[in-house]
Amino acid sequence: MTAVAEQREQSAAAVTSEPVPSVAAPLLVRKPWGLAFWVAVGWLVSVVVSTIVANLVDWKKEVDFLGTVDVTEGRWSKTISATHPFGLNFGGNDILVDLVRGAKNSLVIAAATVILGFLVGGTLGMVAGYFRGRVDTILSFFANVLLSVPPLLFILLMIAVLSSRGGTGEAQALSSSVGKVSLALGILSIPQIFRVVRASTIQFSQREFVMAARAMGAKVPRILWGDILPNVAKPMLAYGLVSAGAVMVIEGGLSFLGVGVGSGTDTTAWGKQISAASQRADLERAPMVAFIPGLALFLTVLAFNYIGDKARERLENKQAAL
Amino acid sequence: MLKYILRRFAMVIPVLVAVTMLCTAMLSLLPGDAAAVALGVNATPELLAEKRHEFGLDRPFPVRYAKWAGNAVRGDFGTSWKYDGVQVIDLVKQSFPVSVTLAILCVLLSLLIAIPLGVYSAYRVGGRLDRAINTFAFGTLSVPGFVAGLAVLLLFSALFKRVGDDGTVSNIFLRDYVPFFDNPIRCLQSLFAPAVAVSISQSAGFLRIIRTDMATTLQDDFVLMAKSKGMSDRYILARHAFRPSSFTLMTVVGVAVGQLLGNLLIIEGIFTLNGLGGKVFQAINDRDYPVTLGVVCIITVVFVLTTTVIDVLYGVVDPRVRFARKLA
Amino acid sequence: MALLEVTDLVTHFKTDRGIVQAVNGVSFSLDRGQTLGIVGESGSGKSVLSRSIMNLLPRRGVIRSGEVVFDGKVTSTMSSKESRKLYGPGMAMIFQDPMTSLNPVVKIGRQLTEGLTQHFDVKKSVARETAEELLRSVGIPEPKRRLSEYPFQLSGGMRQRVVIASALACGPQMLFADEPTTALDVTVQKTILNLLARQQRERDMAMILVTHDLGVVAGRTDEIMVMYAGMVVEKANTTDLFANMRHPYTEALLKSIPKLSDPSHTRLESIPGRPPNLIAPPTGCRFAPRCTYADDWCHKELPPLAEDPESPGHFFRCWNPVSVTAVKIASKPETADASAASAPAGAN
Repeated sequence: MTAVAEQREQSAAAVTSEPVPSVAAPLLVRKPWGLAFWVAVGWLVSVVVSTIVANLVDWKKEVDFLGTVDVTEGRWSKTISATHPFGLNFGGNDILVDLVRGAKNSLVIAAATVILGFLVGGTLGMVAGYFRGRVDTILSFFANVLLSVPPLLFILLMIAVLSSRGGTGEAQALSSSVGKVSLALGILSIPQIFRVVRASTIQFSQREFVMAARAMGAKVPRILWGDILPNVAKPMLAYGLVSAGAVMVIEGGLSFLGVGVGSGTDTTAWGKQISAASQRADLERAPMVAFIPGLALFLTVLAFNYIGDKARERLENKQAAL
Repeated sequence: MLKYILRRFAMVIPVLVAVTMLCTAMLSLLPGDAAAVALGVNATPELLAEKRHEFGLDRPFPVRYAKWAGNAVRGDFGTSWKYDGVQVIDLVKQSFPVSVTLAILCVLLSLLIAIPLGVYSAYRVGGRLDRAINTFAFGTLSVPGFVAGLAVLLLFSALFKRVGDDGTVSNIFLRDYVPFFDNPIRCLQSLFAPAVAVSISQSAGFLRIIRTDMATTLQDDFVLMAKSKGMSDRYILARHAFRPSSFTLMTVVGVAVGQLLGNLLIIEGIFTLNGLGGKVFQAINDRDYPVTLGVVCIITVVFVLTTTVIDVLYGVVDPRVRFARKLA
Repeated sequence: MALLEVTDLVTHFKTDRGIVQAVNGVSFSLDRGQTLGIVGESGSGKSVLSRSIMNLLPRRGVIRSGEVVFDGKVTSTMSSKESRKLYGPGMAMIFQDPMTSLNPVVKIGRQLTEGLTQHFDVKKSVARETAEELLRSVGIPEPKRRLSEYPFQLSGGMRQRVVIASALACGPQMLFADEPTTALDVTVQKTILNLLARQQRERDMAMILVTHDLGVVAGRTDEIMVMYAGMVVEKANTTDLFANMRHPYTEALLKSIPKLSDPSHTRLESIPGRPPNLIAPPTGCRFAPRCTYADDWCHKELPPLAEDPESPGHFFRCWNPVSVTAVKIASKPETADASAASAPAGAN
């Protein structure tokens, strides 16, 4: 009989789906994430680590900034050496060093933007999605207005507004800092996040467990915090990662235009490095100088997108399964 | 039906007003003195004051906006502050068709690539080709626009460079822009390279949307039913599955056209095209309010119009929406 | 010769969790004009069976074996292109949910005429007339107007009628009705079933009625096949089945149907236990874990599908069949050899 009992247990466990015990459970299921996923994670981790390390180490002493061969004389490949594994750029700087320095700003901006966007956009989205009615109409209208403005133009305007004041008759060149760019991008991302969170909240508010909480007399903040937020947060995680990637692209574009981070000589960003290289007439002789930072940007965005996508797949699968 | 259309178009106006108000407000927050920009460093205080009065900068914001809006509705966007006496309309007139043609071309090219590949991927979901396409699309999706632009520029200039007998260097794909109706072929040639650059990532986005939607639709019962009646796969894909799967794509395409107008700024710069994006960038730098406002206004109008048109198209394509309207 | 001959049909699916043994060796035959009822719960394999016979399975991840012969042709090995010619004039299927069986954005007219224009070389006007006639014959009022309408403009019962019309458009020789009434109101169910029966009579069509509800097949079928865990556990002509059911599962199914004649507050009978695990099926009889008559031998050895010697044409798969007068097919291990030798013919 025990054999039969065992059989029963086996069949019961395998066929019927296990109830999901906690919010994070889908992410912890044993199914392997895949090699590509871990490679992406590895790349991001190494980028982050390298910026942290670079901050701590004062490399000006360690690394020989100016190489021995000037790129303009020969091809880029000639500038590669043991101390300069990626060679030198047109200004004579080590490309790898520049990459690491540029990474920091891009990552910080991406993180700050996403955080700002979620804090403001997410909260407003939950409020609008839960209460509906007049609040929702007003908030949605503003969101739509903001979304109707071409993003790049809006950012330019914002950065112009935030640009350093002072000076007299001259038209000020647009300059900015990490803070300004993050603020501008953050404000721009608010309506998009607002929309997504709102839709998700509406969906969840109609589920029974929210009605049950209300029937039990739970107060609104508690419902929002305890019931809706955990459920809405799951798909938001994936969305946040993908957003981070998108923000990096826009930020790259901004610094490419010269509007991004770094009017000072000490700050740099990948976009700026790309634009500096691409504006030279002899770019054709050493295109890699522009493409290495471009590749770095591409890989990082790709990593964000991939991880976000995989996470979303995971979470969606479990929800849609049965 | 007509009422529905009119109602949707009526919504355009409040949004337009809000956007232009926002822009005016932001512009007035810009540091730097527009009058000074216009007159140069050597202007005397009296001249500056006069200029400021001319620009209306000494009036309060609501008055300024009302004046501008009143003129704008009649089509008068005022004169540029930087280029004395030049009408905003004239400045914009040349750039508008460039950007619009480019935007349309980008979208068409992306659709041309995305639809066949997307439909095929959904049809053979999980197959080797599908996985390859999907992976490739995912990769290209992550390529930043300006990187793609640079790459295409270099590639095209390397591949298609031709040195003439008299030593002049020419390139069939990097010619100057010519309006479409003047010389379609040359126009397309001039815009082909930037369109390719944009569609690298744009087509990937479209492809994924079509693939997802179509893969979902193909799981629907009515597809199996059609198959059980003996319809061929090609018939089912084209006449049964495509229509219900195209809704998301329609929305995205509509949004893309509008957004492109603004975002093409970078691409226009790389390929040295005289488009709206470049104009507005310059205008912001110059504190040229009327031009900025004018361009932003136009871009926004186009954007809101396209999304509204798409909304209306929804009703045409999806009979359920149409009839819901009738009942409502 | 029978219209349809199915021999040892096996259909397995490759999934992430393992190989799902959906259909495990099913055989039966069907003549023109006959009605076969296939009864079973979810997971019994009945829907997979009908789709396997019609070659409507997914392209990848399917393991098949066995043979299907339809109208003299071997169809189980046909390519999808060849199978397509069968559909319409040969076999047709109607599905469970009328809400999803019709394309919501395509007019009804086209959904009816497309089969006609595909299989027969008819002009559009002729096809439309035929479609109108079809709608009339399934009892839809104002058929001409309906042709230009969309499915969402009709009620559920109406939609199912349209589905039936579109399946019957090309005059198939055999119709699979996969739970045709499950998604409909009870009051509508009877009318739909009657409609199917009438169409069948008028067209001299064979029909396979797949359902989980014994009540649906009672009185409407010539033969009934009960399936469990991908296998046939009982097969008999309808009167025989209800009069002398042999398999405990069939008995349990019948017992679980509440009757009007029962006194009020009679407890509903249900079958204990869970549905079978199709990936790692238990050894022995698949129903044993839930069977009230099961003994040790049942858990060890899978019973063969055997014919009841006293009632030819009545097959069952059980070591401890219901009904005292039923002949047991030897359940004791000691007499295993003797029983193997004396096992009746027709075992599957």
